[in-house]
Amino acid sequence: MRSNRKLLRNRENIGLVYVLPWIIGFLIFQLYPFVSSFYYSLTKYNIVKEPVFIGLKNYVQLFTKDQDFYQSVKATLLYVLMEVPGRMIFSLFIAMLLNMRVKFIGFFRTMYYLPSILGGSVALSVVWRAMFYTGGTINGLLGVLGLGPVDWLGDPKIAIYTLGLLSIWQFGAPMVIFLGGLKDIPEELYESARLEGASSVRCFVSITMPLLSPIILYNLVMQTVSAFQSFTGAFVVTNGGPLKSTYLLALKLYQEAFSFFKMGYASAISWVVFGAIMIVTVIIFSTSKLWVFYSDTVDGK
Amino acid sequence: MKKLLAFSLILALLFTACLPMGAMAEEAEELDQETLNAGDITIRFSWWGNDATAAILIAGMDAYTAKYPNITFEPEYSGFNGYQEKMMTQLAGGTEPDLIQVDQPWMAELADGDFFADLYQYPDIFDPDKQLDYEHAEEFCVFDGKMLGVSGGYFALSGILIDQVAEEVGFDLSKYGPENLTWDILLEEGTRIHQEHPDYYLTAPDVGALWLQIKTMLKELTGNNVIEDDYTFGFTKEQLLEVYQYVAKCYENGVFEPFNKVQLFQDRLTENPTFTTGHTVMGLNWVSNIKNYPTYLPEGYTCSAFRYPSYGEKQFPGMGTSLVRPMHVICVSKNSENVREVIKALNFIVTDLESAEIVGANRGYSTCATWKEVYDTHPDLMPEQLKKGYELAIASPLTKESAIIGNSEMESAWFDEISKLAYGELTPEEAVESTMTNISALLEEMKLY
Repeated sequence: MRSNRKLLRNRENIGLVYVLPWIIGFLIFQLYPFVSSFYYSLTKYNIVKEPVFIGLKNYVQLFTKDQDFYQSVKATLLYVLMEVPGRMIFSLFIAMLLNMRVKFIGFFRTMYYLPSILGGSVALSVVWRAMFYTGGTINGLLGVLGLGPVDWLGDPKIAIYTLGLLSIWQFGAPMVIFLGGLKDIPEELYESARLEGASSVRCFVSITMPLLSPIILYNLVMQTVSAFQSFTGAFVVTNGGPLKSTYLLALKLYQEAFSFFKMGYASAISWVVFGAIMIVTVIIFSTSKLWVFYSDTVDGK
Repeated sequence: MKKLLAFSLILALLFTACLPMGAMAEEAEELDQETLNAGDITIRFSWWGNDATAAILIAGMDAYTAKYPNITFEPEYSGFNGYQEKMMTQLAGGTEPDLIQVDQPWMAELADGDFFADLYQYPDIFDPDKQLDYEHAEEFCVFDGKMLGVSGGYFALSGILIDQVAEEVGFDLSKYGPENLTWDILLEEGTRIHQEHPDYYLTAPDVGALWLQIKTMLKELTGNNVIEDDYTFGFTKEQLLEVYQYVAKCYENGVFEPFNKVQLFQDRLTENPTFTTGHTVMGLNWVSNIKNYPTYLPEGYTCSAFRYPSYGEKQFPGMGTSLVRPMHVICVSKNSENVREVIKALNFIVTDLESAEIVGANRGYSTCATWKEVYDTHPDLMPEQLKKGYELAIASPLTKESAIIGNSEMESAWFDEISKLAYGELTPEEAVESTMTNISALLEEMKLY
């Protein structure tokens, strides 16, 4: 009995040793910066000098005087509202195509995942800029079709949507998760439905969507969080322009921190972004009771 | 007897003349020995620049290591983008290199941080009076009586004419002379060129180049700094309106390539297809581009320098036309374990003849006497047009800018205001109102913070 307890304690200790690297990493690289950024958000800190405590002044400045902040919020919301549904729909569509039983499906899956590996890179953003330049490839193709050139990146009304396209193109990660979810749906359900005369659309609405809804919830949360934090495209392709129409919050945060060296102010922005993400996530989770179907629960919810 | 006296006097004169030279040689030998006996030292040196610049600087460092084998260098170089962020993070964390290249507008802010060694404290190994153009060094590198760095070389704003394009569109620089171009002439010529050749533009300023132009025009017109050190405007609304109206007319008449096209290539004019295909007549930018432009233009294209334009009859008396400032300032970290040896290495890099022969004009136009000799004797190191561009600018410099205008947030705020005008979102009148309101608000905030 005694030796059993000792063994158990030893096992617990070994378990702790196994997770210790993660705990140390979490404490140093996540928890400490997280907590300290809140402290810095209450200070004036430019790296060069010691931080000076100024209370809520940064937040007051942000909400009452900083016009760029509201422009950034507007650009970010537009971007999130376009990018998240766009990427979700597109990745689900591709996942359904790749779930079909066709030859060389492994090859197609690999090829369709490639943009996600390259998608967020700076090099690709540069290519994107060259493609969407007024005299670039896209306008060249439109020209062949007899359509006039579009100022994809130079027109303040259009640039944010062009940037969104770049992001939608990186659909690989949600697509793979959707594909996994689709594969988990029992084939018999579709067969039974078809025997009852259900159309493909009916099958999709009544079988695929409900059974995929937990995956949709997961992807929706992850994609929303990631969209709020989008940075590379706005930084490399448009640098926030034209006329700040693509000045996403993450880019503003970066500029305040590393161009203007207002670390305290940038920390305040990061906490506002964190708050916004939290609110949106809570809303998504609270509404999920209405539309997410868990097949393993007693009442189906 | 008289002969004997004369001989004695000459002998005495020679003796006294040779004494300091001998002492100096002895002193130099002592310093050499000090370095050789200092043990193995590795000097970390960070700068921004491309691979070609790196190769040249590394060759300069190798020359120093050849003289003092116990001193080696660890180069840390990257592109300009992101350099400031990295440097600031290193300074804040105390992990900065021994030698740090700093952009001159950053110096005022960094001077507050007490990061750099005061070179005045080392008169036996660094004598700015003798070795550098002291007047400029003091203007740009001395803060609160401390010399916090040295300029490796100056750079300046210049007009850069692309000869073959100019010939194609009938722009004859000799008609005006390289020192006499005015903003009115450019407007007139640019309008004509775009009317006769709709695919051509006189120039293609991005927001940075446009800001340099507007700053210059305001200084030429007013004789003041754009923002004075007491956080007030150095111009009136009417003067700003005049400049904005000029800029708006340039866009209206096709003198400037449309802003929405140019801005996609901000800081990268050499990627702009209008430029690379030879449809831009000139650049109004840093003179060092004279060397770079031909690389990106069709084969065989060449560039000529002319003085940055003036305001003609409205030019404020005595005010120059070209912004001249150190291309960069090289500072020595106060935390370096071998400050003396690092300063000696810096001294070699920026003043030594051997270094000059390796580095040439790559790091700007040195005002050090030793280097100027090299420019005269090595035309390959300092191409004729580049030298001409520097000389024209240095002969007609604008007054030094205030520290506030170099602040990155202030610059960014001006970029925003100028962009509204350049995109045509605001009329010149509206842009003036917007500028006065928003820049005033920022100045107030800067005063408080």
